[in-house]
Amino acid sequence: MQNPILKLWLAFCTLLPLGIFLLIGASYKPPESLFYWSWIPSLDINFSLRLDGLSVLFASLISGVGFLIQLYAVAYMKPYKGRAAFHLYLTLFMLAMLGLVLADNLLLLFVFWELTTLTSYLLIGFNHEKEISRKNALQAMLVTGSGGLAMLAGLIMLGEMAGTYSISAIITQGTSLVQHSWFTPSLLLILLGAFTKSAQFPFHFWLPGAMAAPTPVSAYLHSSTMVKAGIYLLARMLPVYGDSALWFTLLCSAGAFTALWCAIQAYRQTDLKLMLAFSTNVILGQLVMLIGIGSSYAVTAALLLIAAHSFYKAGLFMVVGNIDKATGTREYHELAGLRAVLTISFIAALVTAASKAGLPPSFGFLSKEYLYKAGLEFGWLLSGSMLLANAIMVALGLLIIIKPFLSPHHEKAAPMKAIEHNQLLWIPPIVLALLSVVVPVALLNWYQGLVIDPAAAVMLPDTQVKTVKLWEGFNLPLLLSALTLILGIVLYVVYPRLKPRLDQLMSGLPSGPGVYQHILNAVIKLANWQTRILQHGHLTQYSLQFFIVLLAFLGTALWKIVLWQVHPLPSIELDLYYYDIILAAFLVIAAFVVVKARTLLLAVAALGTIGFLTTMVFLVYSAPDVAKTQLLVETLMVVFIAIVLRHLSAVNSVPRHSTSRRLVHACVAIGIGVSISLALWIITATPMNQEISEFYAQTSVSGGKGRNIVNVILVDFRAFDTLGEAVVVVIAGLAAVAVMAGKRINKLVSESTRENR
Amino acid sequence: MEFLWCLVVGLMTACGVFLMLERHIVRFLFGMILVSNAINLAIFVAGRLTRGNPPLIASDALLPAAGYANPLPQALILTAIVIGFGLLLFTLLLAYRAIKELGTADMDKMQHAETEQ
Repeated sequence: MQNPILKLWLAFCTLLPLGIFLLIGASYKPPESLFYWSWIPSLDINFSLRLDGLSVLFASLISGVGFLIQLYAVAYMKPYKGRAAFHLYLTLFMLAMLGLVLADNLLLLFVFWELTTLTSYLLIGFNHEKEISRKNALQAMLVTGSGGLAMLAGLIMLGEMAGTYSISAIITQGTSLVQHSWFTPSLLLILLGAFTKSAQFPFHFWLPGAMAAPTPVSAYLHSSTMVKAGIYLLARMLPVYGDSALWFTLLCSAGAFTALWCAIQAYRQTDLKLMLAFSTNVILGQLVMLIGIGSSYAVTAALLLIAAHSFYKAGLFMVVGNIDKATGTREYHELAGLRAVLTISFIAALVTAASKAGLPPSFGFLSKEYLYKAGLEFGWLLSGSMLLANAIMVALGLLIIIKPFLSPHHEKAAPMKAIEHNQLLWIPPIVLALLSVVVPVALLNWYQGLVIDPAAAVMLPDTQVKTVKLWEGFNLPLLLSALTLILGIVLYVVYPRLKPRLDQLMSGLPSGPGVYQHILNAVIKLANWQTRILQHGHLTQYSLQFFIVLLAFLGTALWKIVLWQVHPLPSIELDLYYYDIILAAFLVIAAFVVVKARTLLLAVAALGTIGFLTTMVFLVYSAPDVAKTQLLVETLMVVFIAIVLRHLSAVNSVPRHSTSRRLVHACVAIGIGVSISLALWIITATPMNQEISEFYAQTSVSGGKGRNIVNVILVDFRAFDTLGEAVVVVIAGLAAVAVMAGKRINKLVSESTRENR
Repeated sequence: MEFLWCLVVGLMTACGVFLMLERHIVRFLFGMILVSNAINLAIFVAGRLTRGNPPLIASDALLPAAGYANPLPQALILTAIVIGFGLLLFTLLLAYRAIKELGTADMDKMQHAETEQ
């Protein structure tokens, strides 16, 4: 660490979370503190932050664990290139995560939600030279990002249902939204967001994939923060959706299944880090299930488990990181006797693994007791599956301790080197290990008053939670805990025989990443296919697509009006003079002549005729100014086209479309024509609002000092429009000259005239 | 009488659209002129037709004679005609340039926006 700027930067990144942690502690006054800045008031989006029991738990975990992670990363990332950037990403991620748990506005919450997705992409893909890192980072981003989009729709529906986007205001409305027809769709969409973020089955696969990240990232994002964002959202929404049967069913089934499935997956892993990743899935599943149950015990258990898991899982990840550093491998059968070099890490591992396995008096034991209490209220199915999952946790805890640290040296063991002279590598895990024991033993009352009671009051406004005790005498949950331990030891003992069988059994099943890859490939195929169909490079087909879409829009609108009699069709009034009919007839004939003309000259002549006939129409129907303009413009147009005409290719030089294609064109054209006629006819039959026209007529003399109302509108009332129009014509003229690219207009004219002579 | 002009506008639009679907770029241009004329007429008709009573105020009056023609669509069309002319001029020269550069007036052969390296 020679570079003083780098030193300063690392110090800043490390101290920032500590400062935030202290700030949160100082500004938190139960039950809640509000910070409020107006942001986009017209859209009801305020930058409002709320610090209540639930957010203080998450915010202090994020900043507190964040501080330890930054410390650890300073030591761990030392040999890496771009470590300054790494700390930047980590800090940005932490800030996004803090924003997420503090936001009191649904849309603000979404913004931070997506920011965590983006920053975690940078972190997971930090080793971007490796293809697997890039791939898994993208996978995590696509899965959580698409879930986030679904959640946005759900949040907007929730906000519209409640009439406000303020989360605290929505929560006070509580379960009153249940009758609303958007209740179920919004519930499903929000669950999709939470399940993808918190890696619930079938979206669980991105989390183990994200282990491609450096270990500090896994310790932070995939134990205590990012994956808990979904848990936080569910806990927040509990007062709104908690009473719904769908909520209970979906959360309990998804959570329990995720826990069980991922426990089995974790049991099969040989890489210690992957083992921890899958066991994180297990805890997330249990948390989702607990929030789904939503009883007083369940909420208490969830609030205990969130903190307990953050402590021991972050600690264990760091220990695995140290093992990796000391030996260069994380495969447990290549590890042995590490107790000799990683003494302090071994102690940290011992304590955190005990908490993971749920041995008394650890934090993990406490949360497991309450997990069983909550599960037992809802029968044996939930508690049974939790028992199995927890037993596997015990087996894994034993494995993590015994295999790398205690087993005697064997010939396959990787060589190891001492690394613990760097204190930053062992201080953070040992602090977390200490917390795993100190909080349940000594600080339980403090935790109860500061976190559990206020947070439970937010999640369950109507229920009083009981005081948490470490020792409640001999009861059924304790018996289950004992059973878990015995079963766990059995599972550890039979592990060498059971694992091959499991592998054999599971090998036929489709894997999550495989399915994801299939879907991704299918999407790319679909995109290719539709690009080939739509973007073929034939200009006339583009025009055809455009007009077909136009016809579809016009057609559906008119279809409703005409067939469903939304509007009765107007009667036909024909108070016509002979010149009306003559003008109309000539216009139509001239239009057909343009279509049928086989020489450009005839077409131009017919176009000119149409222009002059239109002039006549304007003249007949009291629009002298329009007629004058049309006459001038039409004359100029004919002159211009006549000048260029000689340089344009003859009609016959280009082959026509096939007859069938032209038939399709005719149908589209006639369809559009009929739609326009019909629409116009219905418009002319509906009463017209004359207000604006009358205003102009009345104020023309008094306001505009003019007696030609149309002129006054153009040069006075709408003068800026006219200025804009003049500018458009000037720009069109300049652009036209540019298109000629040096070929002077007068040269063009002289060429034309010379040829004609 | 509006009904008659509704029909005329529809027919002109149909002819214009049919021309805009042709392969010859100049015929496409003619279609565009036809459609823009038709749409101007459509706006005019939508504002109702009045015979022989233009929106003018006599020198001794403050208001136009009762039953005066609707001035608003007239102002709109006036702007539209001028802008339409600018657009037409530009498109005409663009078409001319395209024909010169690419050596064809066939829109389906105008495929390469940039010459391939």
